[in-house]
Formats: sequence, C-alpha cells, structure tokens
Amino acid sequence: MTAQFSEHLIYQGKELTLCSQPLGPFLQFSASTLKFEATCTALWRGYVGTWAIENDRLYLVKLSGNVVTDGQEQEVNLEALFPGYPDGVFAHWFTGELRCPSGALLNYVHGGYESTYEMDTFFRVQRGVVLEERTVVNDQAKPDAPQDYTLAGMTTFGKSQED
Amino acid sequence: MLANQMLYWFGIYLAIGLPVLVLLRLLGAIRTKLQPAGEMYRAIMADLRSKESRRVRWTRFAKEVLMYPLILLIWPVVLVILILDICFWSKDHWKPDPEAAFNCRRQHLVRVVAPEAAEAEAKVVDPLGRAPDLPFSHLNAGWHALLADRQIGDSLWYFEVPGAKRGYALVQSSKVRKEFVFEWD
Repeated sequence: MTAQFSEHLIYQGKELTLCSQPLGPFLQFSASTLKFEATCTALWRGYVGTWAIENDRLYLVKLSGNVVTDGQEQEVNLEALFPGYPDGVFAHWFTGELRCPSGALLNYVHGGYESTYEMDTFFRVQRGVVLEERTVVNDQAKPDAPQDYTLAGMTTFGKSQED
Repeated sequence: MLANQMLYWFGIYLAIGLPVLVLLRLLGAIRTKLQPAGEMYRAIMADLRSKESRRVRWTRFAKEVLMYPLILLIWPVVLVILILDICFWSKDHWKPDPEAAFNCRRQHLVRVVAPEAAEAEAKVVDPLGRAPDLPFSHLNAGWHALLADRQIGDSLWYFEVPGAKRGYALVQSSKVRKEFVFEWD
C-alpha cells in the first residue's frame, strides 16, 4: 500500500499530523449508507478528517470526502455523514490510541503510516475521552532530513471512459 | 471407418475428462470454503470488481468460458497438476483466517439482555452537545439495524471479545447471527 495521507488533529491550538483513523470504527458499525471512494492510492479510505481534542474529549470537526451517488462522484463534508452536526461530533465510538508524529523524517516507508519521525505523541482514548498523553522521542534525524509528514508519491484514479 | 473410430475414442477421451473438470471445480470450492478470504480482501475485490469497465468484465467472462473446453482437451495434464498440487499442498496453506480471532463466538457471550436494558446502559453525554441524546448516540442507526433484523427464536446477548470489541449480538440456536459493535479496541 502506498504511504497514506494523514488525518489532522488540533490540540492546544496547534495542528498535528494524525496517523490513526478514528472514523474507521464508526463507518464500520454505524450502518451509514455513505460509502467513501478512493481517489488516489495515497487515500484508500476516501476522506480526510480534522479532529480536535477539547476538554479531554475527541471531536471530529471537519471532514472532506469523496462518495459516488447514482454513478456521480461528489465531495461531501461532515454534514453528509452527521446531519445536524456541521460543527463537530463527539467521537464516543472510538477507543484506542492516536499517534501524532512530529519533527524530521527518520526513515521513509512507502506504505500506510509506517514512516518514522523524530517524535511521536500518543493519546490513549476510551469511548472518546482522552485518558493519557505521552511523547516518545525516537531519534535525532540527519540535518538534511525533510521536516514534517512526507509522502513520496501516488497514483490518482481517472474515471473509466468505457462504461 | 478410421475417422469414425478416432471420433469415438476422442468422445471417450472427452467423457473421461468431464469428471476431472467437476473434480477441479469441487476442489476449488472446498479450498475457498476452508480457507475463507479475509474481510479486507473480500472488500477490496468487491470494490475492484464494481469499478471494472464493461470490456474488462466481458474479457474475464470470456476467459472463464473458454477455460473449460481447454481443460477438457488437456485433462490428463490438468489431472497430473491436480494430483501434484494435492500431494504437495502443505499444511502451511491451511492457515486460519486471521480476522477470525476478532469474531464473536459462543464463549464471548456474557449475558442475555432486554433491548430496553441495553439502551438504558448506552447513554452518551457530551457537554458541548455534539452527540445526539439517543441510545448509542451516533451509532444509533447501527443499533436499530440490529433490532430490525430480529427473528423468531433470536435472543439478544451482550458480548465481549477480549482485546477486540464489545457489543450486542442476536443469537439463534447458540449461534451468533448478527452483531452490533459499539466499542472496538
């Protein structure tokens, strides 16, 4: 799998790179009829979400995705998945760990979120409530290493002309 | 006369090939059944097939249709390959589906619950009002989908798969028929 676009996490006024997909369980268990479509090999999940931690709670505050309705591709936002909640939803369905890498690149892996960076901040979340935060320093990168989350390349999908 | 005899023997040859063809299909079906593809694999394949163009679909169909007469023509070769495949198909190939570890089984069923009791335990409160006041909140549709699927003889169980997930399941004759997951580790 190609390295994937990250999600975003707003925490203490800063936007962090989020290499976890807290929306995954919701899409699997909510009986939502919305089906996201991949537009390129670097975004197999078909959407990018912006999350926020406010008062130790995890919220999904923005969503930009691609769906196919009646054979037509269209972009959708948070309102399409959560009608009546355009400003954000409490992610009570999520239990697990969020990983936010930061700093310079240590080792690039062209697959999933496998690349490693100088630091990782982890948030342990239970039913949407943040229980713990910890930062792990992995190593020091070379002086010429690229800063921040990096993708080496991808293939975008064109719509078939044959159908 | 010779042509007739050759035609006769060719017919016999093809007739013997027919059980080989059936055996090949059977073996394929058994393997698929015993070694089910993971959920992710099935989802990817279904997604890829849904995006296939008409030409690709027809080409695949034509290949499948043409394959059977070809197998019938060269069935002794296919039979040898089949025997070798069965003999050397090591136990390593019979790996269990890794996703099966996350399936809800009988031993994960904790207690029978009434829907009302399950709903009473499923309150989600958010001080910012970003969660609907419904059982299981944003997952309410999934819960209702489970209840709507109830059949005569079903019982509703609370289940826990350690290290994996928690939820409710419809159980019929000691078999988990359908699940609703509200927490995934």
